[in-house]
Amino acid sequence: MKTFEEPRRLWQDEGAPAALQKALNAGRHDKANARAMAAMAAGLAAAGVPLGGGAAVAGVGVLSKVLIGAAIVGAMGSGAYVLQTQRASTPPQNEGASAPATLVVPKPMPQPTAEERSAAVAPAIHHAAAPPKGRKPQARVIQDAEPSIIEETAWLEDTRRLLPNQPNQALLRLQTYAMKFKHPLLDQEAAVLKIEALVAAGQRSTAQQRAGEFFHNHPQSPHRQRVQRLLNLQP
Amino acid sequence: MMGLGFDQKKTRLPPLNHVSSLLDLPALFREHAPYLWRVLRRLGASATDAEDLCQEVFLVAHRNQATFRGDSSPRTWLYGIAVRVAADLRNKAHMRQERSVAVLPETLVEATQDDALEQQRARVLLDRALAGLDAERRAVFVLYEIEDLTLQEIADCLQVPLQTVYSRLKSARQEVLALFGETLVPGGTATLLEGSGR
Repeated sequence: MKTFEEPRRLWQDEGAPAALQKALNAGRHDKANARAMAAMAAGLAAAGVPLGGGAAVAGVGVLSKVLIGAAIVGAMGSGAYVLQTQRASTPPQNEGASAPATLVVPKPMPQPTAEERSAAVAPAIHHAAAPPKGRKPQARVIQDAEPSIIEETAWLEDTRRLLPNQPNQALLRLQTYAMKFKHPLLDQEAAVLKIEALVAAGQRSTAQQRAGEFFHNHPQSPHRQRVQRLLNLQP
Repeated sequence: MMGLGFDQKKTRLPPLNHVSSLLDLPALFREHAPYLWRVLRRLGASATDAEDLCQEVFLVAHRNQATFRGDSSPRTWLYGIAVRVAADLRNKAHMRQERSVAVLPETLVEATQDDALEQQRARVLLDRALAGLDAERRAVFVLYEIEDLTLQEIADCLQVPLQTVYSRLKSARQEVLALFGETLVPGGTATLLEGSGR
């Protein structure tokens, strides 16, 4: 019978490319944070899956508790579920300070402070590229520093906002993408955005040409169907 | 919750033979949910979808716990459910795929430190590489290289022969290594790609 020895895993194999090892390690350290755990526990409780005291929502912050509360309140409307949560011995890694809590519904939910409410609706992306007021832009720094993925994402988001009313402006902006991000991480997304902008600007034949290039350059792209739909192409 | 319209009837579960409840669901949730979420993310779900899907995993586990087969670990059993739930997601209509590849990775919200940014960047590259794999090879690669399951555990989890797991892993490695433009030490490529099937 053929047997198989376990190959050495790439993240610990010194022969593997460093970038791959870094990526694998990043993947290995990823995990659901306390907010996600709280939301999942609340959802399961609402679905009638008993997780018992302290099973899941340990050490969550106030915002998470508000989320749990909202989920449970929703569940209470259609049935009668009670979720009890307690602090567990091991706090989740991704959460900062954990709040001591025993949350028993239907006791009144704690109200978030103004600061917490503000945090809850804070914009997802911080535009790191914007210089603080009163400081001159530092051209040298901008030239030397590698733009972060947050900047790249924010830049693409800003461009996307131009699409509905100013598609030509979006196109102009996208022409500077390669110059601005010399080592882009979201080049596929930028390419798709450009095709969208071309369609929105009425330049359909150019959009089709760009789509052909996109399919050629990224045959396995997860954006393929999206591009096909943009141009009403058959899969 | 359950906004994904997950169809449990269609989702094949690992074979369940023994009529006994060996599962402590609250403990399993506490111990494994963060990592099942991660598996679902690496299998292509968005952060939001991963939460929903992770709930689905435990919902399925809850409904089938009385028939859990105790000769494989609960972890392996849960991973098997997760892979099938993720496959079910992929089989949904186009809109699901569009959601799962949105331009903005949701976890950017929490990336405030430099190292967090680096981690985020690395994860983007990892997901980009994984997106190039088909579902079967992707599942094997993720379970082996990220979750540290053994080949046998993966075979149990996916209900496929050990040989199949091995060949999928080898093929997935080739593709991922090619994507990362390997610069390996002499002989490294052969070692990494050949493994030691015999």
